[in-house]
Amino acid sequence: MTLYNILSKVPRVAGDLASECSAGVPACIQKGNPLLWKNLLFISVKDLVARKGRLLLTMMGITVGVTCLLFLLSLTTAIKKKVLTEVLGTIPETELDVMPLEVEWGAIRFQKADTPTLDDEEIERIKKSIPGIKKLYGIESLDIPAEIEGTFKVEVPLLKKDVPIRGFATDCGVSGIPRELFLDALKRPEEYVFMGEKGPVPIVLSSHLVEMYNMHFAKAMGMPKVSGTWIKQQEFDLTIGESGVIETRGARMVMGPFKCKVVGVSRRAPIWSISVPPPYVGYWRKLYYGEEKERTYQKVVIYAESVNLVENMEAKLKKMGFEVVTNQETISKINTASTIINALVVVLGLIILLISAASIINILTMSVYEEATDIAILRAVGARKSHVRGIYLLKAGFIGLLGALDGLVIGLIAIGITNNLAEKYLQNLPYRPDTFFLPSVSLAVGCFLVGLVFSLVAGVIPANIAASLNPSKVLREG
Amino acid sequence: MRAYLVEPMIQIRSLTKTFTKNGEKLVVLDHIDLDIATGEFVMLLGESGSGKTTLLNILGSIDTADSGEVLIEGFGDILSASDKRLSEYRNRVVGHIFQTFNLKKIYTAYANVKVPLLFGTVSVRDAHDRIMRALERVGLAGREQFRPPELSEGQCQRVAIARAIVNEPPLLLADEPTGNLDPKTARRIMELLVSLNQDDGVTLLMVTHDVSMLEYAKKTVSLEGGRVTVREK
Repeated sequence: MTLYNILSKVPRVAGDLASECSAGVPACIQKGNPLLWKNLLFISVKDLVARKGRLLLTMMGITVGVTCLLFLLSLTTAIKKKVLTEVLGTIPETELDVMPLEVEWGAIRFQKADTPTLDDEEIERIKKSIPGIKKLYGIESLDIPAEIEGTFKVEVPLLKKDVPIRGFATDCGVSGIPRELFLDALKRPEEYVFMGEKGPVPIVLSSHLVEMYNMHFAKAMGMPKVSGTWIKQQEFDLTIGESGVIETRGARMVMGPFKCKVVGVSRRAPIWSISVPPPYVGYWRKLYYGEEKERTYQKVVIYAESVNLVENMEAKLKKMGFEVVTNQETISKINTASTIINALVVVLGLIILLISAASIINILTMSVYEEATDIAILRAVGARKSHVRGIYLLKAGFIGLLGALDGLVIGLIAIGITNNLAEKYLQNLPYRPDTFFLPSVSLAVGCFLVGLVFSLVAGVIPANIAASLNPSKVLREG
Repeated sequence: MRAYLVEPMIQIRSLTKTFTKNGEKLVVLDHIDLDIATGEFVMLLGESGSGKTTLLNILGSIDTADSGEVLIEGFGDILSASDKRLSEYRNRVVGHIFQTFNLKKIYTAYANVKVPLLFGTVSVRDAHDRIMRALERVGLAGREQFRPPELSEGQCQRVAIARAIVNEPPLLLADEPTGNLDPKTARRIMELLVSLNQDDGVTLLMVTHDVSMLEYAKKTVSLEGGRVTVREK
């Protein structure tokens, strides 16, 4: 078939075109091209793939940026979750810790003179004047020196018994803390009750203390490290009225030793005290002083009926002269710190992405000038300015797509490797989380979109330069 | 004589184009008037810088003029048309052939010829048929998968001609199409262009410096000092 035959089937001259078109516009011109974007994509991808080295170089910036964003944000998300759920999560948002106001004088803290003492009378006053209290617990502190003494034992399966390896003795405080505050830490809450003279005294230790012991004391003193599970059910001797650091010869009496049994480890337990059911404090004081003494509390824990009341209650308690710490305040502080860290991470990632965007602008603009003749030919054969712009935006989009996908894959691999290494080598890290990274789908999608958007935005400048090239000038100048 | 030969396909009226170089205004086309009939083979002659390529580029709507009219029958004045309509005009009505071929080196002959179809409305199957027919018409059947560096200069120009005719335009604009070719290859290319004009009825405007090419055209248009002189055999 000759071209004449081909041409005879279609409008060959403008006059013929006019006869079948309205307003002199050829029929084919009036139709749209449903494949146009596919065709533009064909041109873009073909051009990019033809220069694989340059494509990789251009993608690299976006890849690095997305990898950094995903890696660092996953890390900060995990840290934030650890702090909020595991460290503070045990303390409800409706909780207010009320303490007598103190003043600091160097390293020494004094109760402020005009601050009311937290006794039963004062607690009644609080209950009456502060509406919205759901529950209230007083935390008593034993005002007598105490010493805990014991022996570390290791189970030897061959001998089918525990073998003592090292003894220890240390001063400690004794706090009377109600069971309700330890419900999350007690496997068998019924164990944490006043046993009277029978014993053993059920005690709860601070998990911070266990962590600190493992990290510092055990290492420095050649003592064995202990786990939270192991330490439960361990037994120690508690002697009241005796101290290794304070001269207690003038003390009224030495009581004990009382057999103690660890029934739980809690983050809520005071770090330098052993926690016992509150009746023990009154019992030992009566034994020591020989008479009932007025109960004073180190701290009162108040639960509000709702979170909304906390702020108002806090203000009223402060007005009454107490120091008040709320979990909301702490959470808010942690959230602020976390937001600042996240913002810094995001800024770092964005700086990397900005640099890569600048590199995309540079490389794509360079290729616009290199491909100027090709662009002019495209215009000469019917491409509109918007088509040329589209081709370069698609190129930028393609770079962003591949770069961001690469970034996600590399980021996830880096997270996996780092997490494994951290789990292996940071086993003794205090507050060690179950996982050091928390990459979520939404985080991955967010990082991917940020990479893609940066690349697309970077493509706007070269795309506009390409679209504004004068084809006649380009072809004339070669 | 065929009926369409009497109709002027292109009517140029008072076309003016000036360039400014080093602050000096240079009039390359000075109120020129020219009619070109459908199916004509017109040679554009003139010294370098006389405005031949500029005129061709204006006719191909890849350059603009300062004033005047370029009326294409059935389309209207291309100087006042919108970017959208002009792109459709370039895609459907005109085919460009250049001295330096301007092929994309990374594309095969097939892909180079396909480029104008990417902006048209031809279906994928029709596009394939058209590309194969165009390559066959220029004598390159079987060379579809060759890239420009693997082809001779003559073959490259044939690919460029196939690209120009693949959308079956009624008007071909050739800017020194034989300028980079040896005499033998140039002659073959000219035979192909004459065949397109005579056998297929394509209107052909060709810029040349080579007076030996004048034998192929029945009409010559000389440009000098911004004015045109028309000679017909």
